Amino acid sequence: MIIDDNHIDIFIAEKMIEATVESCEIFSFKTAKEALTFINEKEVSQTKTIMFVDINMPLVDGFKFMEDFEKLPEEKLKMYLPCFLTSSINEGDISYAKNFKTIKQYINKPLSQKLIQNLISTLE
Amino acid sequence: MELNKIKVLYIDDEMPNLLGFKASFRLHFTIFIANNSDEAIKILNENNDIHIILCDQRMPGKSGVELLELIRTSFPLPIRMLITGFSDIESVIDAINRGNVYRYIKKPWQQEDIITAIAEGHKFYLANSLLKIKNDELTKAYAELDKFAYSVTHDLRGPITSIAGAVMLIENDRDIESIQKMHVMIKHTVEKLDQFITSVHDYYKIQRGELQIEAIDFRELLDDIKSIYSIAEKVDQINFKTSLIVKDENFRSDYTCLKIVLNNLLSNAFKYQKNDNIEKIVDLSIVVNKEEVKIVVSDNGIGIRPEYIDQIFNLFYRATSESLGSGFGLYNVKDVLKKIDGVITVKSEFNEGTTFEINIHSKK
Repeated sequence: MIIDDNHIDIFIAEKMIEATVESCEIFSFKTAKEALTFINEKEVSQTKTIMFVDINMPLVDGFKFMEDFEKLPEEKLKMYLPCFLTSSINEGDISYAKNFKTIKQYINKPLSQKLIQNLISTLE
Repeated sequence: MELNKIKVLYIDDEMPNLLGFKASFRLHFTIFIANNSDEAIKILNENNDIHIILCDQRMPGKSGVELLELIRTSFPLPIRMLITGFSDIESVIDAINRGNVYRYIKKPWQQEDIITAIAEGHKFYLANSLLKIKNDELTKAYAELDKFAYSVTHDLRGPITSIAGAVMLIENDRDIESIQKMHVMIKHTVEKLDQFITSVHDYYKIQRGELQIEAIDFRELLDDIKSIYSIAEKVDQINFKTSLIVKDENFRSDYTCLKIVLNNLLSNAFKYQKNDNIEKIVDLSIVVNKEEVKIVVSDNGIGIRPEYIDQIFNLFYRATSESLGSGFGLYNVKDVLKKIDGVITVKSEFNEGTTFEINIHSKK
């Protein structure tokens, strides 16, 4: 899953993922609100979805999204492996990101094949 | 500042002393009198610009030194002075050295002593106040700088990481169509980055720049503006209507500032169109009178939600999840208008369109 307000960044991430992972389903959302709606409506299941969350988005940013996300019931949280995917190299952002227990990694854009492969092997 | 504007609080337990003091100096200064610490504190609470506090040392209960020390914690700004006889000198020296008392005045006092002491004390008060004001300004400036540095870093780095990603994709791609698509994306992102840098440049120009007031040729300004948007008109298929009515040729203002205002508003109007609109319209109308010019920029684009409309002029605020803007534009417009004596109002309906109306006064 990709949550990013910039359609170019979404396109790049999608292409990178498609080039790296053989068969996968990609869900992309331009707003935190749309992503949360989708997550709320999806049934509980055993699937694991890697979630790339952009930090800097207008109105509801990545941090606010994660705040709302972490309030969801445990069984829903277990379905996702959230990571921040951001162009921000700001120390304040990096340390604030550590507040979110469910975040697996803080990744700097742009997403590369190598990064994706590393991520997948780390999470398995 | 004239001496009789200096506000003085005199604290003494003996009523005749209080009345005598007030009678002697009511023409020189604004005098407040207090019989005890409770009254003194009440007066200080009600008047937050008391400059000088004069206190008698010999009082029942708390001494003058003790009272002034107490007052200092809640009211640090007024300059504290003690009126005292020779026998109290030890405690006074101690108080002065500890910083609780600025000066002492010997009992019995002469009118001259009091006037000089208060005038000196007042100068010291002003110097301290100025320092505090400058400190507050500096703190605020640093906070703004931090915010600015953060936003600029992000807004510069964002597009660059997009370009880096697109370049990486092209490296591994052989499909011409796909490469061309990427090429367009890179081009758009580069333009966005350039626009952002121009906004930052405008921001600094506005903050630091001197105005150049001259008679404005609005026909030239309009031609200038039209040439900037002619390409966008064709590419995005937008009907750009302009109208200009000049009732007086002598309107005076700064040409660059007017251009910044028009550019930012038009750039927004062009950007925030509805994709599925059959006819996209941007309308610019200018009416020039001798004393003021009225400019209206309207569009039939995505509009602004009512709950966000109050914040659109804030720095870095973006009222839409479409990440098209840099967050500078309207802030720059508001800033510029302040400088050239103009006002701006906005009306908008979400999903229907937005209209900005600006009135600018002619500068002599």
